[in-house]
Amino acid sequence: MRGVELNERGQYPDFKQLTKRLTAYGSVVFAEFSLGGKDAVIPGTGLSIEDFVGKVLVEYTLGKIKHHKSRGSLITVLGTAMRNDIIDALRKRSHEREETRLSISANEDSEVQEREKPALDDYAQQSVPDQISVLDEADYRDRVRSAFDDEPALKEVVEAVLDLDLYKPEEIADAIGTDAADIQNRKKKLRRRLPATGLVTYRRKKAETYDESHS
Amino acid sequence: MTNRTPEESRNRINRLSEALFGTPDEIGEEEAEQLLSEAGLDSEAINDRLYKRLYAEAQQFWMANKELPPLLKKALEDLRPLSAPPRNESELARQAKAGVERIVEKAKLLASALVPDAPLEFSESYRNKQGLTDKDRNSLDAVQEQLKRKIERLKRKDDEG
Repeated sequence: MRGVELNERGQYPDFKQLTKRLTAYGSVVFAEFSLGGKDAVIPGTGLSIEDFVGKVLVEYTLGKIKHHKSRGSLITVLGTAMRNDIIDALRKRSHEREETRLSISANEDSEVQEREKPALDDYAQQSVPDQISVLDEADYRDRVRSAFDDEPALKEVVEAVLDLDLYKPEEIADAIGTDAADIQNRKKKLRRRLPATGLVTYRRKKAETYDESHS
Repeated sequence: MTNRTPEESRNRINRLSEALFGTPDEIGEEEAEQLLSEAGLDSEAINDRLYKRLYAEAQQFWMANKELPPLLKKALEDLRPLSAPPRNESELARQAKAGVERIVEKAKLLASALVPDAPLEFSESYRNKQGLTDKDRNSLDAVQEQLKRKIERLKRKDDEG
């Protein structure tokens, strides 16, 4: 067996453990994009956390995703690939929706509108991610800020990352006046709270549009 | 305003996410179990469905008379449901071992009187503890519920067995 197929300790990975940890990480990523619960799917695609976990694990077992130690631990390589797949699916979905909207509004033929409308209705099952711009960094920052605004200990970490551009636990700890272990605990708390809190849609863009239209 | 490619924007958001919520390897097995339980996800059922998916991939190799990639073989071994008929002596031994372990686990629980006949009541002394936020209390309530469900599930299995 080639080295690249083994885990970071040079052993075969334990697939039960790998699946469990990837699914847990997937639930955190889904919550970041306001998708939660065991039946959560990306609207319009029907893809669940389990589908994304399955995809990366199939690719890994077939050698389509290679693990090199230089890229970090195996779970990080697979988790990152999965996260990117989830974001791509969300982006694709919101892009398609935008295009469908444009094609409907551009076309005044009511027959065409009738034909295309059911497709939109099909996608209405979970509307939250459709309202967010998946790759809008400012929007993401706003949503994180508002989600943990009422929890001082978590808010401190959020502010250190978002306002001071600190990324390493040690740097954040120094800025807050605590130690790195405490930061890791707070990050754990952030992960646990995330599915409950959810990064709900922030309506900054709509507000701007309103201001612009009234200025 | 800076014009970034989608990939640059994604990388920037991923960087923020890593700093705030951690990287995948920061989630250990114990935390993973908690997260799955809170999300209502059943890891055994997920393993079973993933096994079927990998089995379908493996079939293509078998039909083409090709050897399975080693990682696919290992994944099938790891995820093979215990309910599946054993294909050889080592699998039979593995299933027997798992069966005995389950019985021992239940016996331990019974012995420690964690599975009472009466409805479960938990001590909620944490409720009076100072310094806990409402969210902390909610989290503790969730853990309590989770424990209750786990014990109830074991009780049911015990009754069925």
